[in-house]
Amino acid sequence: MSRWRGLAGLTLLACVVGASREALAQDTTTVPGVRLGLNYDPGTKPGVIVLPVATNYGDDSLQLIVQRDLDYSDRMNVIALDDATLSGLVPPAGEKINFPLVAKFGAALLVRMTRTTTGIHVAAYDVSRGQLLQSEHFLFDRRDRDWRFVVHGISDQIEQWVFGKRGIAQTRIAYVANGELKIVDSDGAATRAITTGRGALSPAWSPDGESVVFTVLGNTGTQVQELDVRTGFTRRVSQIRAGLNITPVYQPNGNAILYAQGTGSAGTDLVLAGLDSGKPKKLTIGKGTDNTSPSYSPDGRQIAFISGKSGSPQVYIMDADGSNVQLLTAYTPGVRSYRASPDWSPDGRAIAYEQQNGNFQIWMIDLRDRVPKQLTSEGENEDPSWAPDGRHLVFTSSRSGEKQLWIMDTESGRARQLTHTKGARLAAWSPILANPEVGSYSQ
Amino acid sequence: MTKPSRYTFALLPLLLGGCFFATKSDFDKLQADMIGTRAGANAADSVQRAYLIDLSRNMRSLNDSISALSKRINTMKTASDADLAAIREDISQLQDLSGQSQRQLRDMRAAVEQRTQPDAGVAPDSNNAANEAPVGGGPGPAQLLQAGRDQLLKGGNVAARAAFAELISTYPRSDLVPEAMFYTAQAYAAERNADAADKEYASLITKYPNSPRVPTAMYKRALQMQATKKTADAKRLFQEIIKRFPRSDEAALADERLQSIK
Repeated sequence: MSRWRGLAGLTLLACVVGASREALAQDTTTVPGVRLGLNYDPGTKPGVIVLPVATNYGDDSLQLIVQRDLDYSDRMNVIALDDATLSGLVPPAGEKINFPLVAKFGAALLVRMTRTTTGIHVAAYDVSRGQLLQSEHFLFDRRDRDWRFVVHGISDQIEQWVFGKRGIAQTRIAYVANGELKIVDSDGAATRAITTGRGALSPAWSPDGESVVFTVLGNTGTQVQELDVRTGFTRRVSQIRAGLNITPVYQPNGNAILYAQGTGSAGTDLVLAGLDSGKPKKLTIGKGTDNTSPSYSPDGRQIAFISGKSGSPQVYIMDADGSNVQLLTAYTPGVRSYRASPDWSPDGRAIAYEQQNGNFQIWMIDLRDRVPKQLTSEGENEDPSWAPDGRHLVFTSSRSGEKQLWIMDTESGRARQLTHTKGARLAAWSPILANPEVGSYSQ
Repeated sequence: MTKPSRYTFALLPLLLGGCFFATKSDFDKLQADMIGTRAGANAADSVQRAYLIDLSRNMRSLNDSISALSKRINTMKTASDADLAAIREDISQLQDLSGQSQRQLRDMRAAVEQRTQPDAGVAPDSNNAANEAPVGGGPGPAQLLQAGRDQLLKGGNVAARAAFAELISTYPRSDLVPEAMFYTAQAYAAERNADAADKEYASLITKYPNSPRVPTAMYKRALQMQATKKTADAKRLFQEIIKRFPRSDEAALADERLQSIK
């Protein structure tokens, strides 16, 4: 009896494995012998052509979104062709793609998206070899509220095929505008408020990207709140009492919140509070000075923060238990200098911050050689926050005449305006998101 | 009874009456006396009032003086507080900058070592071999320390420990050995090997009691003791940090932890 049961179990397992393989074969097709990625010269950006999508809605917005995402990645050169030329590149049914013609436009990669009954089939071709690089089927329904999120996922997957590293299109940026907390997609679309009322400050994403912690300015000081982005439910972090509580961030394991707690004349110190239990623990002893704006290293073993203990605010780093404090940003004694808003890069190798040189500018410091590098010079630029790729930064800039959020590629220096909402500031870039849902605010 | 006594009785009322019926001059005298007395009393009152006024004036001026003095004391206190804060800032600046200078010196040493690296195969100078000069064409102590720290930054904890171990074994008398031991412990901690990290910190504290890394090493040991419920040992170590290194950041942290233990 038990033997029969064992055989039945094995048969079932074989069926499941077989079915999975079949599903995999349907979803992802790889030409045997073709290696991952494209051939292109180091330091150059491979050219990419995204063919128009024949859709039922009579628009090609999917093509535009993917084109924009690939362009904003700053790793590819999107070749913009007029509609007639692009249409000429789409092969008639049953015919092959004319790769020599595509290559003449300077493309190394060709992306073709085809509508299916349940979604979109995406194929990426290596133009120089005239071969399919990778393809995958994505479930998609234009009527879904979060259809854009799926399209961003396609763009990120294309980058994964080409570079072996996922893109950052499927991320969002939380920021403050007129005291409200808002989020916007990484391409600047789909802006929405996630809190009502005024007084929201300093948002920071949870490591899983499902919650945002922020401070709310009230009559009795500031209170730390946590917002579940999917449900819109907000709760006060009970371990954190009323008073001056500012610049909260999550511990990288997501179990606790590190923030700056003001104690009147005794200054401001960094305090670690568990999300559910335990007495908050002081990590800095400022002795009347201000210690604020913490940012964890990706492994959670160190913390960058701002301290005024040597007279003017400077960037320091310390171990996560509060010991081994070191000054990071060099300064000349007697020369008034001001540094603020440090943000540790996701690869752990650099810290971005703002520095006052007459007006504020964004700088970054390499943790290996500790050499600072100025990244901005146009207008006033503040509050940098790293993208999960460790390459792009979002920050507040007045370069367009009023304060807006801008994104900069730290490798090329290319910048683009993200928001067009007056008074946008205090941006926080999310990790790569797995869930597109955004709930409506409730308390 | 004799005749003169009879006269006496007759004159008695007159004599007695003299006592009860004063003359006008008596009244005048009495009035003058009363006026005089009253004037005297008034004068005494005036003097007293004058005294009182004077006293209250003095009290007021005393009060003013006290409050002026108190203000002056407060001003002095604020000034001395500000001076103290300024001194504290200066000390902090010096500490910060000396930390930075040490790091820059280490980097410079690493660069110099790299430049002055002898060709492979050249016999090392036996006097310097255990000290600073690169041995047998291999990397110098500062280079090894930097290489280990770079690995640590990238998360290559095992490679980092190997670099620090090479520094310690090849250059046992280098002044960078305590640094190498400290970072070895950090690498173990990053690998979540708390026991090995604790042993390395303990070894650093024992072998190099004057190293600037000692307060941090002691604090980390005390935290580890607290985490493993050795509260009494942790308490003793926290107290020792405060006693031996009262000006260190770790002393302030230790004080905070001691309060939470109580």
